[in-house]
Amino acid sequence: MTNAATGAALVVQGIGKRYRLGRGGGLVPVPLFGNRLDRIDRDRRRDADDDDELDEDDELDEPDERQTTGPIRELWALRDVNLVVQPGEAVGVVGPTGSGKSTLMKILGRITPPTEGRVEVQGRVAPMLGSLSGFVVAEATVRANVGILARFLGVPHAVVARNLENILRFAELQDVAHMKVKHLSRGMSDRLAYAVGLHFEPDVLLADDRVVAGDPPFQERCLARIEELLAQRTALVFASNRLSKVTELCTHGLWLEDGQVRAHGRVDEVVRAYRESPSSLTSERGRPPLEPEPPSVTIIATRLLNQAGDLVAEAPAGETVTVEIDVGVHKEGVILTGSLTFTRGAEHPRFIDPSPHVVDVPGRRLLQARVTLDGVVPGDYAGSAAVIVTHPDGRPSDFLWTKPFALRVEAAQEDDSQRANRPTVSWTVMTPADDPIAPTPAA
Amino acid sequence: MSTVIEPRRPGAAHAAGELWRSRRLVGWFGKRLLEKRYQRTWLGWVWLPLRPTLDVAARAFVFGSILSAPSEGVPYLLFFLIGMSAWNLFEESVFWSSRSLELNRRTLRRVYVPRLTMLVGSLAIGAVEYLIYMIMAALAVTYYLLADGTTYLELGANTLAAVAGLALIVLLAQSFGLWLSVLGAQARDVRFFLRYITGFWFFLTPVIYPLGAVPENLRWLAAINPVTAPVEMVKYGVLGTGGVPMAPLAVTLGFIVVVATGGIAFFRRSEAAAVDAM
Repeated sequence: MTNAATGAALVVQGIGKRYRLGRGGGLVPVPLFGNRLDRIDRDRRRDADDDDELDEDDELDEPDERQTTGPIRELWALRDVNLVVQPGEAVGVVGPTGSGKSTLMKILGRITPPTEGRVEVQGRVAPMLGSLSGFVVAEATVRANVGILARFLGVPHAVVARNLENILRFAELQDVAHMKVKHLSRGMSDRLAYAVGLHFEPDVLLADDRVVAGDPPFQERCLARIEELLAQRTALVFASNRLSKVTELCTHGLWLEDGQVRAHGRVDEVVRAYRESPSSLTSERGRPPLEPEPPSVTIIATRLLNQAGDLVAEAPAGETVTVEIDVGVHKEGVILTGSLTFTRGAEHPRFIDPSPHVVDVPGRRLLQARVTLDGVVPGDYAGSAAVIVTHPDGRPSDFLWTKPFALRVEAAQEDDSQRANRPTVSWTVMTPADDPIAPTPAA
Repeated sequence: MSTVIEPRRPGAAHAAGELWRSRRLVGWFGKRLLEKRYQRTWLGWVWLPLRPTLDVAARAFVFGSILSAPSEGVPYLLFFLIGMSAWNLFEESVFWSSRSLELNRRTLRRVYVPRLTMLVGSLAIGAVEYLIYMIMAALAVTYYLLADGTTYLELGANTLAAVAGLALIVLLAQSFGLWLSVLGAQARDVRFFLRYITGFWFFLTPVIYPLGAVPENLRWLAAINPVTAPVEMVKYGVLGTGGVPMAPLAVTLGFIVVVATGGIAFFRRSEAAAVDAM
């Protein structure tokens, strides 16, 4: 089982990105042109250049601005960001310039890897909407360009052929399909790129301010198509400060500031809080974080127990161990779903409780995963357990990660000929009788 | 299908699978590299055959006609063309591999593509120039057939050695490319140095002279050169001169294993940081 069982299209777990400023400096400075622009500035200038994407001929000898001197400084552009996006959900990422929006999008789009944390995507991530404009080949026909652009999406030939007419119709380019793109207007070539980006059913769609292009009717069509994809259970992450558009398209909001999550919740609430905050107007640093809502669920402990109920760290193959997540629930109506991942090498199967537990009376709960190690390859496994908290009021689900634990599976005595690679897991939720009162969350 | 995004890029096996699935992009990057190289020129595509032709004309004249280098009974022009075709494949592939990530930085900033597609795509220039050398060699063979009544070619089972030699050259160049693509994305020094290094390396490799002409006391120098064996194999495979030198071949294979193994680890560890810093 994978995270398809929770339905999550995108699980972002504690990601952070550190940039080292001043890297790439030479041993000997170039005295005339040694400027000290840092890379953030360069990024901004780059984004400003995005308009001449079609004109790429300066690439061979474009001068590089590179910081040539100066000490190495570190900057966390993003830290400790958690996010769960369900299929069909749309998350609007807002925040002032430099708050980490683009870094988050770059990580999700695999342009740059995170420095820490982990992102799990169920399915295929489409490149950022609008990013394909730069790859339209002026010397090729409109029709051929659909295939060329589809290469960057990893879409097979047959699928391209099937969707070709739809794409041309969407971009209103049927009549010029045989013409070379260089004979078309810039707007038409943009329409082509957007049309390709919006077809081929991505599982996760990324968009920034360039979410739409072209003339107003085409912009409307892009938005309608995004709505349609959302209805077909595509997930959307939309990083933009066009707050009205964010509210219109998104179900949830994520407010980033200084690389950290300042608020996460229903889009209207997050956008309103952001709009009222001074940082939506200026990018002043050092604002106190929003009063956080008291958590409705807290993790008390995670335990690894053997059949006798003793705490263990290793178990013989063939044994059964229990992973017990001890949680305190402070709010009624929330739904708890246990999740357990065992990592060994490249394998990281996730086991999710197929029958989530609805909390009618707040209090302590023990989420127990009975893990049968029958036929499991002996070795060291890294376990990580989590509780997914679903709120009845439509707030986004929380992932509460517990501390990772290690489990060593020892070789069994008997013949090892028939071995499955994965343990089997069954979940139960218990309400301990001895402690019916919910412990109050730490102040 | 699920995708996991983590600080470390996935391992070599995963990268190879990804490369295979994205093989159509290899051609795209190769074609774009060729186009870019001759953009903003008056002669455009004419440069593609012109550069090797000028190279060969000048060098064959100096080494063959002025210095009368030995050529094992084959007309010097033909001898040089065959050796040079192999060397040039190596030199151009190594050089352009060092620029493979750097030249595609706009792409790298916009969409995710498996990085190796760019590295493999950078073989395009070497490969196309190799074809140009083949055409020149065919013209030279035709000329000698008409002039001397013999082709000087010796094609047969030995030709397999030439094919293997070319494969070794590609592997060797790509192994170096794993290092150079990342380093070249970090600093331009790499490509400045590289032209000098390969310029000198050319003279150490038996291209303008046969391996047999190297004095006994300097043989070791030719033997530790990983390009010696493939170049000799190509000459042996087409002209039947020399043979497959076993000691240098072992050196070549050793180089490939060591440079590629280290290169895979290095590429995987450093590629992201280099791209971030571009």
